Amino acid sequence: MLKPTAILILLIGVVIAATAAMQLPDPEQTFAPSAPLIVLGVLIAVSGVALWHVSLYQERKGIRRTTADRSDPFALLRDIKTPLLSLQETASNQSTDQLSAAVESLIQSYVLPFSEVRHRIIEQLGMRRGAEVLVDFAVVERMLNRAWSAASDESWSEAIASINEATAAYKMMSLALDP
Amino acid sequence: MPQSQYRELTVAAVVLGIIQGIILNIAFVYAALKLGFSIGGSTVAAIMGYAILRGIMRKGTMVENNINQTIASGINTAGTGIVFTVPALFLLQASQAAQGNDSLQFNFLPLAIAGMAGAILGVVVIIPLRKQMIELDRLRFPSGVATATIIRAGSTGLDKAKLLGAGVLTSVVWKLLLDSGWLDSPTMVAKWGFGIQSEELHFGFGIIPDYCAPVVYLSLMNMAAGMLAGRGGIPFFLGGAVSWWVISPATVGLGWAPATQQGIAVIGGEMLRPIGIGVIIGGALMGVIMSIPAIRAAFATLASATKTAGAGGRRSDEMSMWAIAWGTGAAILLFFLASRLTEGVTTGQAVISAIVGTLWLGLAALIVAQATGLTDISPMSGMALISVTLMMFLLNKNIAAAMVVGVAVCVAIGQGADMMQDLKTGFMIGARPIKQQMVQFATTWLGAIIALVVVYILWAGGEGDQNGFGPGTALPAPQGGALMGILEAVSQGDVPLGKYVAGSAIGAVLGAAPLSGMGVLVGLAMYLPFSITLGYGIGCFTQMIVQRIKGSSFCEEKLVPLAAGLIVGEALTGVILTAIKIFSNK
Repeated sequence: MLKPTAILILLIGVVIAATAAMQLPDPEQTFAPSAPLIVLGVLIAVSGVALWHVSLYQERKGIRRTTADRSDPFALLRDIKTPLLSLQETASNQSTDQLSAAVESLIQSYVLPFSEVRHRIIEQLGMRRGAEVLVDFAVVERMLNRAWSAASDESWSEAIASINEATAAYKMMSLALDP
Repeated sequence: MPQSQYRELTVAAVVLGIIQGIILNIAFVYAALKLGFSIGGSTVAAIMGYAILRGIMRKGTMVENNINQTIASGINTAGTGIVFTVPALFLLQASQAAQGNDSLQFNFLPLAIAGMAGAILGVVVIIPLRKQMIELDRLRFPSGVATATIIRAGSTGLDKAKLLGAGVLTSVVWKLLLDSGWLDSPTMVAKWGFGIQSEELHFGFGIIPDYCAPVVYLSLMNMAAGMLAGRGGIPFFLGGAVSWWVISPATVGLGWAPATQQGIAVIGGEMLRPIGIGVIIGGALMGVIMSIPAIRAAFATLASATKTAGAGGRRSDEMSMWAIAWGTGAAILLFFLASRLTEGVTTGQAVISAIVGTLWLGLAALIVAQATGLTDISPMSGMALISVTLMMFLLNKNIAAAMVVGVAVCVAIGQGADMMQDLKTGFMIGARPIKQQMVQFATTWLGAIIALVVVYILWAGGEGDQNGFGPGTALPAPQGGALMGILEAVSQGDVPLGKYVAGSAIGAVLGAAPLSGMGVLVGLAMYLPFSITLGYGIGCFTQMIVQRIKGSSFCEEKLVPLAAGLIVGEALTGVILTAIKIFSNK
């Protein structure tokens, strides 16, 4: 109820202020006699905006409480290794449809969950090393995205090449993660 | 390793991107002069890219379409920077000339050079921040994500191509019909309060008073723009509805304006329009203030980008720093030239203009890119207002010179934000960033030139080869009007200050609301004739109803190409008709 009320208050305030602003000033005057009404309308509108922000804050707090994520980004980075290397080994025997599905599965199972908690990498490894890991893993992600696109476009050779690039980038990332 | 034949940076993608970019640029410049805001070209270009690459040429990959869309949106966005600024110069010159003052002089060349410099600088200053904003900070860039979703969804595109063609054809025929005047029925309008007059449908039936009678502008482009916006355009419609259905009757009721035709002109011209300008200014400036978290994040980005510059640098997927340095140098030189070629600017002032302009432009592009990444709203008009005002003081109130910087900054910040959106799209479909950066770098400057030519043509289409846009014409140019208000206030002080201040306060409050961009949208609605806002609102409601009944994918598959066709058809016809008119007059 708070949000609609806030929007209504904002609307009322704006209508009062804008209507009051319509009056033309007397000659040689900058402001019309209705100026105090403009101020009143603006103040009402400000309170509407403030309430609107409060309502959104409450909504966000509720969402945060229900979707707290406890995933371990380091575990996700290590866990993707086996399926990724396995995909690289078997890729040449798969059709583009199979490649597309396999890559999508990797993205959904590891890459996207990792992106939700990636900030913990910087928190734990520091800016320089953390950035090294994140940027290298971003290459893994982009190459997997490319592999998916190429497979969907039925460009089998590009899909294989992109999976190979993703694997190479993963190995680079591993060096940064466990030097 | 198998040899790859994957189509990405192809001649077809580049040519198609340039052609689409030019068409969208012309169409959206025309639309922006009418509506006061730009229309994002990326999604339209991506959809049309498939329609042509796959539907007509029978080839095309996702990354190839990404190249096409990157070029098209880059060229299109450069036009936005021009259409938000340059019309103010024309309007101000005409206004001063009407008062016997011909001191404001400007030429095409400096503005064109400034536009090109801005286009190049906007791209080069943002390229080094790709890794930070997209890979490390993972900013959302909602429009970039939406475009990627369209590209990933794929399709053969033939149906979309047909819908686009149908939209263009319908719009061209309708525009020609309206322009011919065959549908006009002024006698019916006067007698029954119903009928078509000057491309507007009147339906007050003599019952509803004229000061709040509904009138719809029968522009398919206008309604189609509403169809593309859908729910997001509702604040714009509400702004117009409240202005003309609540505030206007209240004004008459309070006895502040008579209920006559003259009274309506006073309500529109002396009351709502200046308040609207104030609301736009307040909303735009508040947009910048609301971007302060993004601005702080932008500085943090800059700091951490320096620390992490080497991360992942062993791969050659980015443009080299040498290329960026050369681009920056060339753009600064262009900037200097543009300023120096402007009347009344000394070499010293041109140096100041180039240096301060470049520094401010880099900062502004960074801020806007960050704001776009976080919220998808670009505080472009606010930054343009600040830029021009700042340069007015630095350049001894030389309006033309300040505007040269304003043009460069406005084009640049649009490019920075657009480049990042496109790079986000590219990331999501696995494109090579270097290829996107190269094509945008190489082609984007075209957009500034084309937009400038369109603005010049449209201006010359009015009475006596001028006044082709501005208040009282079919192209009200509200952003130009707002900027002109600022220029007049700074240079002369002869403005309805009370209305501007009141409007700014209202705009600032609306700009602080959680619905980003609301201040500017409501201000535009107050500034524009209600017939435009109402037609746009009909488009918004149509999209919302269709989406509710048929779903989002239907809208994307059917409504977007049709609406794009309607916009392009009418806008191109409008520009061509104006050009023919000028040619036949000559």
